[in-house]
Amino acid sequence: MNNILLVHFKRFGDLVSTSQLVAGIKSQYPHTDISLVCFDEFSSVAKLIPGLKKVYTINRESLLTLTKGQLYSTGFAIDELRKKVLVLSKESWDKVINLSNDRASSHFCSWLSTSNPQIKVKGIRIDQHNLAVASDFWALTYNDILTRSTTNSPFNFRDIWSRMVGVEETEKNCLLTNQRNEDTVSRNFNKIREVQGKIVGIQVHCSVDDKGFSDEFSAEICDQLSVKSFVPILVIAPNDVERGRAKTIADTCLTRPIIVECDFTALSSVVKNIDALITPDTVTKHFADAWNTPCLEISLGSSPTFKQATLNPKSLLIIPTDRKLASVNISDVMNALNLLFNPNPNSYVESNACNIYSPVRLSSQTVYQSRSTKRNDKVELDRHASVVLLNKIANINDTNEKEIRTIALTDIYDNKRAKQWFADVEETVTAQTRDVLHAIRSLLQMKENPKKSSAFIESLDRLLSFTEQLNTATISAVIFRSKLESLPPTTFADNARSLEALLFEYKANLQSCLNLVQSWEVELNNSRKENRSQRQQSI
Amino acid sequence: MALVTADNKPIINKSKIEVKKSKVETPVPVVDGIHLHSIYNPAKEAETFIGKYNENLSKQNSVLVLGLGFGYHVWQLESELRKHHQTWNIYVIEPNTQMTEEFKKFRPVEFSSNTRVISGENVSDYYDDINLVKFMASKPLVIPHAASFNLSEGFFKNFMSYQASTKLEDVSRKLEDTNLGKYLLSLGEPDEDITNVLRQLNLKKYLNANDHFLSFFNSVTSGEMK
Repeated sequence: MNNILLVHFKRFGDLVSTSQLVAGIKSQYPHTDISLVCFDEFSSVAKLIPGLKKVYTINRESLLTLTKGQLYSTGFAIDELRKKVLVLSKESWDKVINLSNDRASSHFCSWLSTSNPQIKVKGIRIDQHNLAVASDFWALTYNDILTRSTTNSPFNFRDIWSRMVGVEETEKNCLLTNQRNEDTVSRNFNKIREVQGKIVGIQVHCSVDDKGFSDEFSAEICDQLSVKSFVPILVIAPNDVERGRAKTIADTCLTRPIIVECDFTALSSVVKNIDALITPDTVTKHFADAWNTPCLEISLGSSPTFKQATLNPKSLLIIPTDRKLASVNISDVMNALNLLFNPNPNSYVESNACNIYSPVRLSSQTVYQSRSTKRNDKVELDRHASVVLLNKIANINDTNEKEIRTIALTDIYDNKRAKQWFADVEETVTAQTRDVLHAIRSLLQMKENPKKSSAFIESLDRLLSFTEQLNTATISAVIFRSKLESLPPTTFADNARSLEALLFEYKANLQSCLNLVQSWEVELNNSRKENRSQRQQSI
Repeated sequence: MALVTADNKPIINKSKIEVKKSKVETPVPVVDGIHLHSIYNPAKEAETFIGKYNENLSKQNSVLVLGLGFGYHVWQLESELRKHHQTWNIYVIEPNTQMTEEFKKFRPVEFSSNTRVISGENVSDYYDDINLVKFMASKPLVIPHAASFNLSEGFFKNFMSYQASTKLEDVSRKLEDTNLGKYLLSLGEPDEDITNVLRQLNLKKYLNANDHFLSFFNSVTSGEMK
């Protein structure tokens, strides 16, 4: 790794999350130059990432104006983009890493690598046959598994990035601050802390309505924090909308909270110097992770939850079962905050409408452990088993199975539901195995007589129907589909050989899944027997 | 006689320009008996005229002026912008080239290098100028000089409601990179809409570097990334 370009066409939060990866690469390969290309409108946070040699920007808004405005010819927009990217193509990149995995970034990476075949692309690119091609198993997981899992993703995207790139993230001092801001904030906050107590930030605004807090909710939190001798501060961006909201909240509160208005540079210092942050899924949460500041993330609405939740083991995640803010009681928030400030691995939070999780850092990945007294066992077992299965399929040395299994099988709340999950997975895997064997048989027949294709197509259809849902039992089907769709158009004989290999791989993955689930079931039964005998002995 | 638009507005009034002297001895152009500036004190009139835009000018440093006349209003505009901004940009559009010539001859005011006057009768020629296009794309404040505007109302309406061609042939011709322009043109029929041509790239069976670049452009601008 000498000269790397990170391609990232996503928004503020995702860009801030790149900071730990950059720090990781720099720590493992200190002499590597890392640059980043992003959209101009989000570049203000990219400039806070230390270790970047250069931030290249593409002015999407200008391109959109030139394209959508009837006054101007689209030719001008094409020219403008051409000039921007030609600068990038003149650099001698050794590796281009696609972190955003969308169509734009994939074509961009392909354009760079087609222009210069020496460049290695990590992540997704589009090949000459117009097919999406993953550079490795983790790129495939990022593109085909994480994008399909809405709320129950097995992996956080940051873990996938570091596996894709092959480095361990570094989690210290991952953002820049401005020294003057830093001095002012730390001096003022220390004074407040000495006199009044711990400072808890509340992120007031979220760009997506269903993910954010209401003003009433923020005001209630402020009041409760004041009652418990914390110092609430409302964190807002310097614009009229957020100023207005902060004023409304402050006017409603019994004790007026401090309002801190800051741009991204100042936000970096603010988040670094508070004791905790209460936030929905916003960019501020990613700032907190970059500074290791504990946060209480309340995951609402369309938030993709585990896919991009806080990874800080000192943080907690609150997820209402219906994903609505109305279901979050202030008492849940305060109980979780109590657990956050007084961490105890054996403490759980009692809540009827919310699930509480804490990130647990294992080797090269984070898993989310339920901290609720009443957890949904089916969901928990499935998510944890998916992680281990993906690790096994990827053939990595340390699958973390023992640790993850312990987290998954400890504190089963509803044994009946847990048993049902085992039965469901086994049934779905068995059905798939039957169809895979049928597909292999009919493929072999088709090789001898190409006219006998209908039986093969039928069994293939049945297999692909398993990809409609994503869970432990169907992960193998999703991987199969992804690889199938990336097969280049070649001769029938070559295609048949590739298909056969994919089907055998699919079958092996199903077997891994079955072995995993059965071993966990045995483990669960043994531990229950052990518990029973311990109880009988004590009686 | 002036050419007129469908709603009987003159496209450009090309009647002879007469130049009179105001009471304060400054030149004032007159067209068909219409004085383009005050015959008493053009500078004073310009001050009042630009004064109406003071609030907007404190927030905006890009201004498009429709109509040059003899430029008193533009000169006043410059001095107002200077109060609020360190840098600014003014584009003055004057369709009547004869007016521009008279202005140059009499030079009643001098503009700074931040002001650019463009003159010409053909609307599409203006939109071939990438600098003007970029300026227009920055959504400038538009100040019509009423007397000049009325003389060429049809032109200014066409200018402000211009629709650039979306035909593949015309878009390809605009590209500075002529090789890419030729390649783009080869992707469809000359009169095919560019949006359609770019969308069809998704269906291509074989992609080369140009296809990847154009697909990248299409993904960024088609709204799929919002």
